[in-house]
Amino acid sequence: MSDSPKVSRRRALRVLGTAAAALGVGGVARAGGDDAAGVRTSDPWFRRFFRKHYRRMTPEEVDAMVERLEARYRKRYGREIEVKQTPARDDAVYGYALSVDRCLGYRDCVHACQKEQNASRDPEIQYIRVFEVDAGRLTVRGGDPDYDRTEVPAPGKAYLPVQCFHCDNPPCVTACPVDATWKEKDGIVVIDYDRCIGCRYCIVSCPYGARRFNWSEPEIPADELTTDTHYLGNRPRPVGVVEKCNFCVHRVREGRQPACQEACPTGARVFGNLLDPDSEIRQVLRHKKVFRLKEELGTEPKFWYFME
Amino acid sequence: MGAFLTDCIRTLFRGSPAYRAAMLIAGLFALVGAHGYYLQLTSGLGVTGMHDLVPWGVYISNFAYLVGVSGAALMIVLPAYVFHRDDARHLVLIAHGLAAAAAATALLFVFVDIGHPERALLLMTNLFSGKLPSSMLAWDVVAIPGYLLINTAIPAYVLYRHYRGRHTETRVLWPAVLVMMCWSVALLTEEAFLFASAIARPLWHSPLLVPRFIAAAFASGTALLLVVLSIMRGRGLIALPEGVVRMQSLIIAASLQANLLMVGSEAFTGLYRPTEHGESVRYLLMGTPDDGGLVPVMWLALGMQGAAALTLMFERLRNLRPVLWACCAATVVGLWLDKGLSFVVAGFVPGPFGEISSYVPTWVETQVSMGIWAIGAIAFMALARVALAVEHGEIGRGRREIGLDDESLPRRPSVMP
Repeated sequence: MSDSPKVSRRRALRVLGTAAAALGVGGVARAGGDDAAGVRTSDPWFRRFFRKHYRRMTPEEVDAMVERLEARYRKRYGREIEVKQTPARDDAVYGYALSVDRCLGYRDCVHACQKEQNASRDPEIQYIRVFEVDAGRLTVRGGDPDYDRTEVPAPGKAYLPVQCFHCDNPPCVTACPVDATWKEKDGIVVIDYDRCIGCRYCIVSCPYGARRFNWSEPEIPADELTTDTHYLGNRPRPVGVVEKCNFCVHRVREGRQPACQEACPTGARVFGNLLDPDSEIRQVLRHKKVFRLKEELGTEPKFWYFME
Repeated sequence: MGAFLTDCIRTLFRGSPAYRAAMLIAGLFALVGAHGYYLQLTSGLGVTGMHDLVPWGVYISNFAYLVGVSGAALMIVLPAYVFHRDDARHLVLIAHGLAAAAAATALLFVFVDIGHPERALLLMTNLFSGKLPSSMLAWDVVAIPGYLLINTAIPAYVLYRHYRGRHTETRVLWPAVLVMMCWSVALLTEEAFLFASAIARPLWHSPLLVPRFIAAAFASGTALLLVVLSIMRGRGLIALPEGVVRMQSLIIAASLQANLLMVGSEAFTGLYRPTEHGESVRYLLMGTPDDGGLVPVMWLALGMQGAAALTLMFERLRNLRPVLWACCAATVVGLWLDKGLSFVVAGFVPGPFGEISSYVPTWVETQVSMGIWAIGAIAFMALARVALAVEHGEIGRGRREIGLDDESLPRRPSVMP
C-alpha cells in the first residue's frame, strides 16, 4: 500500500532529483572528460555524430574535432600526427602540367605520392596511374597502367601519368549525395572522410578513374607515416570511404610543391598557381602545345599535357 | 487504432501451415544474409567482388531491378482507378503491398552497398546539404522512401476503414492514389537518371535509358506481380479475374517488345561501326578477346525475353495458363539478367581509359543478396496477410458490416481457414 500522497510525492521528487544530479554530473564528466588514453577529448559521441558540415563549423568546433582525430591516431599508430586545417589562399588556383616528352615511366611520383598521402599499402592504393602507350598512338585509352619492366622507357613507348585532374566542373562533386566532396576556393577538389558514406557514386561519375575506395581497413606501417597532414588531405582514412589525389593540400597551401612534382627526376611535372601570370605553369600554358583528356565531356580539368 | 495495430500484428503469426512455412524459410534465408552482412561489416566491402574499376555490382543491380518492380504497381492501380476496372480494383491492395515491399527491399540493397550506412541514416537529417536538385543519388533517397510511405499509407487507410466497418472516402483516397501514380513514373524516371547522368559511362549515358527502364519495369514488375497473384489465387486467398490476367499479359507483351526494340536500337548503334561509344555494347554482346564474361548472360537474357515476347504475341498461347506462367518467369529472370546484372556491370567495362576488368560476385555478396530478397518476401507476405485478414473479415468488422457486395472487397471462391 502506498504512503499518503504528500509523502510519496516528496519521495518521488527526491528520487528523481538524485537521478537527475547523477546524470548531470555524469554528463559533464563525459562531455569534458578524458578518454581511456588519458588524453582530453572534448567531443562527446553524440556531438560528433550530429556534427555540421566542415565548411559550416566554427573554428572551435573544428579544433575539437581535430583534437579527437589526433588522439585517435596517437592511440592507433603511437605517433604524433598533426592534422592541419590550412585554409585556401584567396589569390591562388592550382594547376598541373605534365611534359609528355620528359616522362619516362619511372613511377617515382606514384610511390612518393603513396607515402606522402598515407595511402594504404595493403590493400595497395595509389593515386597516380602511369599508362604506357605506343609513341605512335598518343592516347591514354588502351594503354597499359600495369606495365612491369626492369627498364624504362621501353623503346617505342610513351608514358602518360593520370591522377585526379581537379576539374573546374567536377562531375564527382555534382554526384555526391551528401556533400562530402567539393571544390575549394583554390581549385582543389577535396573529400571530407568523416562525411563520406561510401556510396561510390563519385567513382562512377569520374571519367578519369581518379578515385579510390577503401574496400578494407587501410594498412600503413606506423614508421612510414607522414605526420604532417591536412584534414581534407592526407590524414589517415578509415575503411569505407573514398580518397584521391588532393594536390598535396598540406604542402601547397604553405607554398611548397606536391610530393609527385618533387619526386620526378626528369622534371616532367610542373605545378603552380594559375592566377599568377609569372608562374611556370602559366609559361607552359602560354608557350607550349598543350592538351587535356576528354575535353568533350566539359569537365575542365586543371591538368594539361604538353610537348616541349 | 491500437486495436487495429495489435490485431494486424497478431494476424502475422496466424495463418495456414504453408504461410508459416514460407515465412520460416524466408526467415532462415534472411538470417544467412544477416550473417553475410556481418562479415561485410567487419571486414569491409572488400569481401564482395567489387573493386575500383567496377565499383557497383550485384547490390546495385538488385536495387535497380527492384525499383522497377515497385514502380510496376501502376499497372494495376492505373486501370483500377482511372479506367474504372473493377476487376483490377479488388487487387490494388496487393499491388500496393508489392510496391512497398519492393521499395523497401531496394532501399536495403543500397544500405548494404555503402561503406558507412550509419552516416547515411543521419545525413538524411541534413537534407543532403543542398545537394538535392543536383545529385541523382540524393533524389533516390527522397523518391524511394516517399514511394514506400505512400504505398503503405494508402492500404493502411483502406484497411483501417474496412476494419472499422466503414467505406473509404474518395476525397481522401483519390488524391493519394493520384500522387502514387505520378510518383511511380517519376520514380522510374529518376532511377534511370541516376545512371543516365553518368557522362563517364557511355553505355548508360543515353537518352534511351528512361524509356528503357520504364519498359523493363512494366515488363518485369507486372510479370512478377502476375506470378504472385497466381500463387495467391492457387492457394484460395484471392479471386483473380480473367480480365485482369489478360490485361496484365498484354502489358507484359507490349513492354517486352518495347524493351527489346530499345536493346536492338542500342545494339545496332554500338555494333554497326566500332566507336569508343559503343565499346560497352560490343563487350556485352560479343565480349573482348581477353574477357567474354557477360556474353552468355546477356544472350540468355535476350533469348528469354525474346521467347517470352514472341509467345505472348499469340492470343491463344497467351491464354494458356502454363504458357503464361513460363513467359512471366522468363520475363522476370531475363530482365534481371539484362537490366539488373549485365547492364550495371557492363557500364564499367571498358573503364574510363579502356581498361577491361571482370566482376564476379562473391559468396558473401550472394548470401547478403538472397537474404535481402528473403526480407522482401517476408515484407510482402506480411502486408498481404494483413490485407487479406481485414478484407475477409478475419479481423475487424469489415466483412460483416459493409456487406458482401461492397466493391472494395475481393470476391473469393471459399473462406480462408
